[in-house]
Amino acid sequence: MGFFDKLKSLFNVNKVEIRLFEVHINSNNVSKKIECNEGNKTLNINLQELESGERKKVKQIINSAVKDEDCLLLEDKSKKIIDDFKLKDKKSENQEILNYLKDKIPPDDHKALRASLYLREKFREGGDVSHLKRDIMEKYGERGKNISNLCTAGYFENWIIPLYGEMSKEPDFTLDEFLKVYNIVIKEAAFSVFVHREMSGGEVKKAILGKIETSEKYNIKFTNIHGIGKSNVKKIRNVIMELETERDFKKRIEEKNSTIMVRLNLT
Amino acid sequence: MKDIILFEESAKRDILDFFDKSVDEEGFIVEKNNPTQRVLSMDGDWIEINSFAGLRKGSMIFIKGDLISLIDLADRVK
Repeated sequence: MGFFDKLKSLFNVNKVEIRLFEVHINSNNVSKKIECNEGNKTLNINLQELESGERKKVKQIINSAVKDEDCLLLEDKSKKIIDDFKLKDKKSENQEILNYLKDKIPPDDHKALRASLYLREKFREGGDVSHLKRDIMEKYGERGKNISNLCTAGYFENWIIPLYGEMSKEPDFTLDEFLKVYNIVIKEAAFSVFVHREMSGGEVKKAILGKIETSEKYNIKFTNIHGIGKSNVKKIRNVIMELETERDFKKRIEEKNSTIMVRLNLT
Repeated sequence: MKDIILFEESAKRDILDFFDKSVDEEGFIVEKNNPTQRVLSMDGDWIEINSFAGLRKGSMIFIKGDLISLIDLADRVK
């Protein structure tokens, strides 16, 4: 006899197909001892209202349900989170990002990204996501925080995926080459400028100066600039040349065909 | 998902009691018969009652309610 039938028998709940009902357990001085809601198909049991004999039997039934029937005992608000997560995780735009990057980025980064995509969905809904961010950081540390920030700002689909796409076109491309740049992006995201096609030279310069200001404010001695595509590479080179006449820094440029990474070491 | 019994936050301590667990002064879940023995999650962490989210089979696997643990559970019990 499964746990549904045992509960049905214990509380004389004579509803047809009780097995289709969801069992909800609470413990308060408000609800009835047993409440069978046919509308939303729930069977509510208030432990506080049970007599000691009934409580003992419910304890045995639930114990057996988990240990012998492989039943899952779950807090209702966690079930809501799981159901919500599954819905949003399944969205094609999120699956595209996750599938593309699956064997390209480290497994823990991929998991952090998956959690971050869910955080982004909740953020877009206008919800408070601070607790989700905290959960990601607790598990994945500073790297998880950076992945979360980059994800929310759209950098995975607008920058990191195109970066891989561009780099992988090269005949001597290796995954390690991509990961070298990727790891810098993730680790140093806060001190980096990511140049987009839509940015004018003036906007690129303004963004770099802003980032330099931030770096200096926190006594960070560098700023990175990343660009993909020939036009962005040219734009960045031009802006750097201009900045060299105005500011004091040492530059290190890594350029490979259509991608560029510039590190400005600030003095 | 497999068969699930849901519980509200109000029933947490009762549920723990059903499985011979209680809560110590610092809010961590412990063995009722050995209150110095704190229960561990799958990650090897102690579990605070506030983050306790449930139980499943195995060597009594305690589920935490943080996002990462719930994503892991969602994948395990498809």
